Amino acid sequence: MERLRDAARLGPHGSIDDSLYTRLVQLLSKVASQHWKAILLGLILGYLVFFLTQSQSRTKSRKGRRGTPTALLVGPQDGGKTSLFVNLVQGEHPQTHTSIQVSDTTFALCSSGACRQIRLVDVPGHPRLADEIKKHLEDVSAAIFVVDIVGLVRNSAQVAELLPSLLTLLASTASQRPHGDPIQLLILSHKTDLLIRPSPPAGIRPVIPESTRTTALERLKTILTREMDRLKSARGTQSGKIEGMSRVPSSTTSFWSRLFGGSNVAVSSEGLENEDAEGLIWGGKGPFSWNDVEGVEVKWGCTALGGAKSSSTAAEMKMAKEESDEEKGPDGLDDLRDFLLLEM
Amino acid sequence: MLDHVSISHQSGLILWSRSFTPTFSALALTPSSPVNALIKEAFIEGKVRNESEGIERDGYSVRWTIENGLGLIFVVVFPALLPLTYIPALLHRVKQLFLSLFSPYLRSLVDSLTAGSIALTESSSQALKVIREKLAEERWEKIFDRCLKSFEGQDSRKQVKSPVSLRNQAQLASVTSGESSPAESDDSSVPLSAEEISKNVQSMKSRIKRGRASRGGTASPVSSPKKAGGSSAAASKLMRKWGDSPVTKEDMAALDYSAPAPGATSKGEGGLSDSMSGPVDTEGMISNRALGKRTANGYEVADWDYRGDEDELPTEDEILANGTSKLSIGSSSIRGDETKAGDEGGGLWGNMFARLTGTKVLTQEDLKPVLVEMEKHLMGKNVAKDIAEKLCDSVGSALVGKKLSGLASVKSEVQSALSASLTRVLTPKTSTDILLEIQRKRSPTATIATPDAPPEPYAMTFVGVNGVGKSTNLSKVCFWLLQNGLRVLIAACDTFRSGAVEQLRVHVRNLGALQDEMGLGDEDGGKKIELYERGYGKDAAGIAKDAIAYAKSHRFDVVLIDTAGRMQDNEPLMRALAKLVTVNNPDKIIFVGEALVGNEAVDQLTKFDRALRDFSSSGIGGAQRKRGIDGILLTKFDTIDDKVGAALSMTYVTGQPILFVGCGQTYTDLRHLRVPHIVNALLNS
Repeated sequence: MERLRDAARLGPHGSIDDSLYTRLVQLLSKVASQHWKAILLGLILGYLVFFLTQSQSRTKSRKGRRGTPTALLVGPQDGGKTSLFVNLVQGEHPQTHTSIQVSDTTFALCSSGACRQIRLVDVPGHPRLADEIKKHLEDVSAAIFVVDIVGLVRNSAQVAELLPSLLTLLASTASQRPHGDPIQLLILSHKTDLLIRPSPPAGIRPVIPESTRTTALERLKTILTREMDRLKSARGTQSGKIEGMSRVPSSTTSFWSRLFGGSNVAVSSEGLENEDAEGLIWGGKGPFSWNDVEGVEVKWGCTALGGAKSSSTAAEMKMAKEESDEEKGPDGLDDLRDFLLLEM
Repeated sequence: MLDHVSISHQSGLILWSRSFTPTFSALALTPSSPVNALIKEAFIEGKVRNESEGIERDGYSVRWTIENGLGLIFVVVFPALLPLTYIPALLHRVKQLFLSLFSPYLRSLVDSLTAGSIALTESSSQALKVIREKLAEERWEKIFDRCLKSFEGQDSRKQVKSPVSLRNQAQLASVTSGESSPAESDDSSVPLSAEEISKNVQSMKSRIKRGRASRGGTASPVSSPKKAGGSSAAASKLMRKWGDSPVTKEDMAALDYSAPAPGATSKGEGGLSDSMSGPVDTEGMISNRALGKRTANGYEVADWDYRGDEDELPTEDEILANGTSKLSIGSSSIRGDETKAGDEGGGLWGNMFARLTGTKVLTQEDLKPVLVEMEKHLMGKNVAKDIAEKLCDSVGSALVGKKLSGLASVKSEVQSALSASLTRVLTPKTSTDILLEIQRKRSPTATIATPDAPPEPYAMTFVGVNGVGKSTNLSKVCFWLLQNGLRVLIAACDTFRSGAVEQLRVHVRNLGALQDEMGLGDEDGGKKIELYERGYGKDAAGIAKDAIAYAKSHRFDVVLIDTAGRMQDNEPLMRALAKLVTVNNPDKIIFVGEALVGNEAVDQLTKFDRALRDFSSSGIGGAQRKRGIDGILLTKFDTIDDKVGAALSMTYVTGQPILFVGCGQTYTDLRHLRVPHIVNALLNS
């Protein structure tokens, strides 16, 4: 039987040629001449199962392979993540609505001659879908927090409240890495073109003037730092915290539920870990500092896309074509492109 | 008639859209557009049961249909006041046409969006551009226009004809046998629901008015409004008329349904010549293609134009036929010969093979038994019936048309989809960090006029039915706030139940003693915790107001307002509660509900929420002051084992988060909700 198993294990690496098959049959007939049919059937089934699992694990390993750097587009809803995604990947600028699904793709990003394969993941911004980010943390090397710079003034509190959980996730992911490379976080002031005065002509991807750039970055930094300060003073203390509820004991733990409920359990324990790890980001006493966040390097940038075109007529299409031809010059996405090409 | 049409992918890309009014095209670009509202409500929060019930938002009706295989969403927006009956059919038709024209290109786009770590090829990185070019190439705009026009035409014709055909049926019983050929007239005459009739009446009336204006009342105005009364009255009236005049040319014209909109020109002309004597039918024709005919000098010219257009564009049937043949070729080439043989061989084996090769597409029939089972399971976990049904329906409609992956069973697929949707419902969409909110409110915002004015205290009101543990859990929250170094004032606004004030007094004494023991009390003079009470029988709103003023002057951070328990159906008491809310405008209204309730949870929460909203918004400028429930405190959680359904029911109904969970008798038995635990408990058998 030992030899048999060996033969079966060898199977997927070679191809089942006739000689192997006949050898198997011979062996089988030697071992059990009476029940050979049943055993053969069992063996073939076993082989099938083995092959399937093997192929599955192979695809998994391919998935987990390091090499192409992964960047996540995250942030509050209506920030412009999907627009950025489509712009980078497809070079198009359609209208968008609230995303329901994660978009995940690997593409070649080219800028001034240099090209690089990059995996870009667009995570929906709706708070109820924010958990999706956890599924893509595994081999993330950078995150891009997209903020609508105009809306930030009104929603600064809501926007900033997303940051601690994001930073915690990134920090704990980075701390679990063996080599300890920090994860890059680019906080992006998007829709910066709305700050340009006088407002640029519609339909053309605007170039951000230097003065607008500094205004936008300054506004972004001051508002977010102020909010993070507040969050730190409210949350940074360890005393007086309410614990999370414990696991709900289930009345019947059958064999099957334990077998199939396994994945859920893993998720919940992960959640608990992250909750405890929030200490990683607050640093020591005093006001909040972006450098205190362990394992995360924070950078700032600003981008602009201009207004989305509505549905395309033939004339507009021609215009768009011309536009894409003369795309080579500097435009509002340079910050993001540079970040993806050079920093990550 | 329509305001907006859009075709988009679930990743948020709008592939094609058109606004019919300038106001809407401006609105469509903002985050608050009705399309976005639909996405959030129907797809993310799972509030809408299925496609047939759309949503209404800001005076717009939004209807939708989805294609799960590719993840496409088709949305139509129209004014909520218009009863457009053809919308579902239009959506379906548009979906068919769009898919059969563009499905290969769409497939490559979807692949490029979900490629994961597989690098994009040159072609798939152009997918969106290709789709845009194809849209222009196939003249999708025109195809859509024609499709819409045909539906609008059908609709108006239907509305004109149905009363007429009613009359004719009553009048000429013998002729009705010959009427069977046109399918539309059957459609219009069969479903005589009240809604249908009232719609017909409306359209009839409007038509009559217009007819009078233009033609000076040649159309018989007397007989038509009578139709509104009911078919019996109409019948008797018409019977007499029939005696007057036998079958006239007018009646014949009305019965002539053989003039269809597209294609048949000779019949169209016939219809026109006939309609000279029948005013009603003319109306229908004009609304069909009014502009083209008015501007042209004669019928021939208009017809020529129309036909020329028809020749250029492929007809809808052609498009559909092309699409299906393309699809079948594509699928057979993917599957290979064996699968084809399997398909031919028989349903069972083909089905099994399709499942093994991962090409099995889920249908309503596959899902139904599993969904029913899941629904029962959820109800077994104490989820309210209504909510279990709605959730399962929305999960079902999101799965129909999806491909079953690999060896996964239908049940596991449903289970994972349900788990995702449960997580979505339970995950809070607003901030649950009360400490942060308190801090934000208390942070010094010294104005120039009053630099020394004390900041407003943060007020929290606890509401709920009798005996769910409002006071007990208020004291637990109080303990937590004290632990965080805040000064708390408790306002005893339960002036009804005997012993309510004394109960709070005991809590305050206990908590004060605890503070002293832990060395946190009385650093800078004033006590950390105080009770504000004015005895029994007084107006609760007034006491709360005084308490907040007292807290402000004594620099308390938080005011916790305890209210009397009340049944959700008791209107006077609910009005009193709304008054308390309106007068004091607390920062948080927390509904305290026990985890033991099942179906009742829905009723309690909806009625509390609605009563608060309705009553607090009455008066001047009420719309801004409209307040509902802001959060939920789930009590008695330690008593329910794994029947945690109330948590789901409550969050589903209000969409508000569960802020705390009470799970014991001591002050420390307050917990935050952990969504994965609840989902786990709900799905475990």
